[in-house]
Amino acid sequence: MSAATLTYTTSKGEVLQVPPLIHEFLLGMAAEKGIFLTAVERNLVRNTELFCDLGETLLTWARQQLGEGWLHILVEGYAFFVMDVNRHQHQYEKDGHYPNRSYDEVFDHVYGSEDFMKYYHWGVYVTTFAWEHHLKIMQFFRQQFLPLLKDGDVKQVLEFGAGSGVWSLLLTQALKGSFVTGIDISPYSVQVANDFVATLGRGADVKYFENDAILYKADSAKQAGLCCFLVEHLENPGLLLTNLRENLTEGAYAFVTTALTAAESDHIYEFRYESEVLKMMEENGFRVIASFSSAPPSHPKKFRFLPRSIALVLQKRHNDLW
Amino acid sequence: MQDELLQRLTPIFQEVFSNPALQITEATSSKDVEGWDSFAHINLMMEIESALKVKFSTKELGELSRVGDLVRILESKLSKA
Repeated sequence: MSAATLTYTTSKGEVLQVPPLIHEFLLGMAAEKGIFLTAVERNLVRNTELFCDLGETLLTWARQQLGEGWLHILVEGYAFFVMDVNRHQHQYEKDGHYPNRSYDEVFDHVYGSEDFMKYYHWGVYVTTFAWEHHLKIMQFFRQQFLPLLKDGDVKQVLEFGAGSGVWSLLLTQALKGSFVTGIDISPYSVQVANDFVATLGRGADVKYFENDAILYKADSAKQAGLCCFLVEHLENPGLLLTNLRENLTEGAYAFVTTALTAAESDHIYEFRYESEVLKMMEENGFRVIASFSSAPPSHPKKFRFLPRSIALVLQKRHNDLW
Repeated sequence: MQDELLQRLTPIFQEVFSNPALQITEATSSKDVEGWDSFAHINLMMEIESALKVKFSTKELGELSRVGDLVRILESKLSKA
């Protein structure tokens, strides 16, 4: 750890050296939303280097974008998102299925609601490093996907479901000279993501457009694809995967993540087994090069459903087998 | 009404935190109760919703880590019911 660290003592008494914004974030969470701290601190203790590296980067970006109120917005957003997720997961245990069956049911109370999206947006952003199973997915992204793009000298990348833009920003940061075209159906997300990129001075790296990822046609095929935590939000993910494939060059790599048995206010397509996800990728023209399934380490065993995330490194196939 | 609410809430707290001896006051907060983390919190709130026939908004859920705040919100909701 560099000299620019501060001493942080967890609620269980573990003493750690952490970067300054991580330190401020944890103290802010302890002061405003103490009940959320336990799991975040456990993640910090178990994955200190990765948590601090990624978390400090994301908090630095968020502070630049949000200004003086950054800490409050991130802590509130995280609390809001976690409460919403936990409530839906409990209801899912009782109902045995996700709350929404169609995109129209979701649109009005999620994507069309600026109030909801404000909390949702920054809540999801914080989970990138604060949730241990999301942090591990990011590690997989860095270790298994980015080296393939570096080796292939990839310059043009297409992202479906850009969200906050964090995946594109991290990709282009690691891959100098690359450019991501991001597509998202939420006008609020597109606006916030483009503002975010502009604030960070990264307009030469990433640009987001409001469009439907199922219908979008790029002017020219891209060398790589990104599609993180989008397919579970759709009624028919196969249409999106087919379109992603059609917008990529022969042999292009793609990184796709999704959720399994994890209910949220806007999750529609319910994957129960990892094999279902892999099969869907294969059925829509991709070869699965690597996959990684990740779950929160402390989910109570009394529950039937273990909420988890899966990440896949894919390659576009040019025929049925290869 | 505050005392009556505390009486109704106490067995819910005891059940959720598996502690039959647990006693709560308006001053009790998440820091005072072993196991009151974000996941137990949603369990607690959903049990309260069910027992008292009320509904908390998602924003409210994240703000109710003190029994006193919980009692005040419940008083407000029950008076409008």
